[in-house]
Amino acid sequence: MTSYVVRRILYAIPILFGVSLVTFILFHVVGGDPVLTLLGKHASVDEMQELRHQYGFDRPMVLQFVRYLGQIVTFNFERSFQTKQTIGKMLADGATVSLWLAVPPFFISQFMSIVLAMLAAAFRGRMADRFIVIMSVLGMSVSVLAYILFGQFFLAFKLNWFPISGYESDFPDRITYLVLPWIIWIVISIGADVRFYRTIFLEELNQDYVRTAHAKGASPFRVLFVHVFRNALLPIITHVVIEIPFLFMGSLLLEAFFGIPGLGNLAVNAFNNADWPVVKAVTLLGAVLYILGNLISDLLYAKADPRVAL
Amino acid sequence: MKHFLAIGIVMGMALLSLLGCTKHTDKSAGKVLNAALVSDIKGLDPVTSNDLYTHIALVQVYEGLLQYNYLKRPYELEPLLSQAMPVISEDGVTYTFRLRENIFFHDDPAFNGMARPLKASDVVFSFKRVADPHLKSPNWWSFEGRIEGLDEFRKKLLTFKPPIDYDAYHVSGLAAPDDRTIVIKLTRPYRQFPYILTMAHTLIIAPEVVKKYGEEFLNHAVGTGPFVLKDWIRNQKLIFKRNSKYWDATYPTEGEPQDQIQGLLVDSGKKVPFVDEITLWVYVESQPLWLNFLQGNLDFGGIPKEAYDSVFDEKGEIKEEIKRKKIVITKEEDPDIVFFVFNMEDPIVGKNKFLRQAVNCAIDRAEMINLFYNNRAVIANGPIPPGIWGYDPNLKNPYSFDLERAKGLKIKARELYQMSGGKGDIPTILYDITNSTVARQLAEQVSHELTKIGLKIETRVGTWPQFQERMAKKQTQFTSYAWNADYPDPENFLQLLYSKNESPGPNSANFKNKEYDLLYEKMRDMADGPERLEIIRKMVKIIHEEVPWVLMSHRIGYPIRHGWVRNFKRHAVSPGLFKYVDIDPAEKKKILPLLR
Repeated sequence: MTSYVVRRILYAIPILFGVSLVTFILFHVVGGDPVLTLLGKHASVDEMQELRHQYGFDRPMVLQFVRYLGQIVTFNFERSFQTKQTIGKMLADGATVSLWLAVPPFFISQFMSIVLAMLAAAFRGRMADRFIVIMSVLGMSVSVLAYILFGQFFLAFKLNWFPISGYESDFPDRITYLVLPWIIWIVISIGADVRFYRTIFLEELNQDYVRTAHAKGASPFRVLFVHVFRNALLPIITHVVIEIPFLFMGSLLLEAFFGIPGLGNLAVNAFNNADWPVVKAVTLLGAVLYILGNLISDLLYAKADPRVAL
Repeated sequence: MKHFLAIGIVMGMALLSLLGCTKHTDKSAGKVLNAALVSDIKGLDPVTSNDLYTHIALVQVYEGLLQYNYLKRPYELEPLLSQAMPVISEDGVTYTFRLRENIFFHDDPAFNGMARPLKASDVVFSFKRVADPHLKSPNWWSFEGRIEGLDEFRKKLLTFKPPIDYDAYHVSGLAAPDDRTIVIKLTRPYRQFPYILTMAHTLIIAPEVVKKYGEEFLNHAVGTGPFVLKDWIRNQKLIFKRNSKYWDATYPTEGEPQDQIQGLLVDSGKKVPFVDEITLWVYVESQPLWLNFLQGNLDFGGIPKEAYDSVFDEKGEIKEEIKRKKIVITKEEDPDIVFFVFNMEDPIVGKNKFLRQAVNCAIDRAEMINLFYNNRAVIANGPIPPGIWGYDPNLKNPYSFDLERAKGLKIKARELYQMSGGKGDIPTILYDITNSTVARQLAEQVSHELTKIGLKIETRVGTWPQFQERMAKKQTQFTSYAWNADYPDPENFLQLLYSKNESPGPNSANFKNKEYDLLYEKMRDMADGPERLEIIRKMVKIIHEEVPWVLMSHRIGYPIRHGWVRNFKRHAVSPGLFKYVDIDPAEKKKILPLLR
């Protein structure tokens, strides 16, 4: 196990190098000049050159990239061009909020999706199955923006059930503001997940061991929730664990409409303002989390299925 | 199955309990002013402030030597930290200010528990800071070459690494002979200088605070202003509480004639601020801003384009439903201009005057104003907007919308193009836009209008930094732009076509015309009067004839507020003077039920 983990971490190095290279190239080709954003419309050519020199943008590209790699190795991305805050603090603040926004609805929606998918699979072709599938397709077909606009207008403004927008850092006040975005998150994600899990469960239900279990007199409930569920666990783990890194990144639309100061907002502001240190850090964080997600998913495979040897 | 049922019940109860504990703040309690910003604030360092929203946040905390009178129009300056308007020498180059007595900075650990009075040396420090090249102030242009010795000071600082002790380097044009006197010596008369002293980058700061917080200074606002920064959650809100030690500033006693009728002079002479707390909410999307306003969570708002029909009827009158809710809407012209820019250095559009004239005649401004502003703008016939001295309401753009004329000019443009070596028809014009929905819609409309005269448009979309870079490097051909007054002087608009301001400066058209430049240099420092007006007319004539822009519109603001907000008068040049605004809690209690 240890050697597997070490091997995977070593594999991550070229992946991170590739991500860094692509980010670097993209930023320098299409990212715009941060100097112009910082200095405004009245800046002289001399002032711009001066600032480029200060940030090292006038050095050869290779040297700039090497410096960037040095920052990755030392985890020191210095300070944001725009806010002058340390990047670590900005990421920590943003990620905490994003996790509060994303984690509860993610797990609730996963739980609900699995239960609904199992029911749909168990009642395949019958009214319950059709109803669940139709609702899932409907849910998937409507744009995220429509759910947000509707939720905010109808549930928060018209019915006054929730605050229209906002966020509080104190607990439990923050929950007050998060309930509506959570509900929207669940509604947005549940459709696709139910359909995905339903397919997995249907595949399992057609396996020989299910027939054997039925023949042995196991109750339908036991067959579904014990035998089928356990065997369907691998793809479920893959799906859930791969999603977890993205929870740190929050949801741009939900954050923008509900005024939630998460990492999604932070990243978009950084892109729009050519805030290179923040862009670099956010991209790298995304890559690292993705690699970690994959690794954890592989480790969980071994736990879930003894046949998997690492 | 029982387990699942139990889990379901528990989850349901938990959700209901969460909903039950939903905190609905008592909106009628206390004097808390809630306003909105449509963009986040990057930092609260005056020298790096570069946008309207940062200005609004900064003026709650910091103060400058001068400010605009809150009520008077046309805009008029008045002393703020300065006891009186400056004494200006006869040659117009020496300004002497005398500070008010007993003004203190907000309490802060930087002052080691001591009350810290404002001193003349703080003003000198603050102005020197604008010149510090290490701080990269986007506002250096306003001081550059203007204050005696300041440019040399800036050059000297370049050779040192921060932190730098400014006191070690004397600037002959910035003197503080005693704790309350500041003498500023300019290199030559600078008519707009008093206006500059109202801008956010000239707000006064204390050196101790800069020293204590270093690079994080922009996150620690400590000024002499009416409010103290209490909390700031980036991308979400800024909370300011009343400065209990604020000096004896009072509400203005004079204004426009209608101010008396509108009850704007009821509080004349009373000590400000009136409210206990201000929260500035950041809303990057218009729906939450609008709904929060309608629900009474915000005291002020703006009417988003998509909500226009819910506020105004077909005749443009305010709907009864809105009046019933005691919502107050006023109409005020913005001192701004929206225009399309031709890059005059581009070999196609820059060298073909007929082409630029054809585009001018092909664009239906009235239709655009209707589509994009719900008619909340007027057609621009010249570069100077209403409300700014020099605006001529009778001015006519010689190349206004006329489709037949546009077609004729397009034919001439094609001939000129072919005569100068081009083959076939005029090539597709590249139109640079930013990646916003409105910019895309605008591009579609422009393309639609220009197709009518046989011109093809290709839209190139970029992020804001990309767009800025293309402009700065003169890589655009045709684009759209807007300019809001930095100060109420026509020079601020006419400098947009001064050749020395070419890209990356504000002359994005890269327009170069010797006669225009000479007239500009003459007009720049003149006092308002017939002679200045005559020069302005000549400059506008050159703009009309050379068409470096497509003059589009001057926007009209429709500030909207609830009936419980008192003393609100919009200031389009220097917004955010919330120290004068008041909330009537009793009225709020009465109106809130009407909003439901």
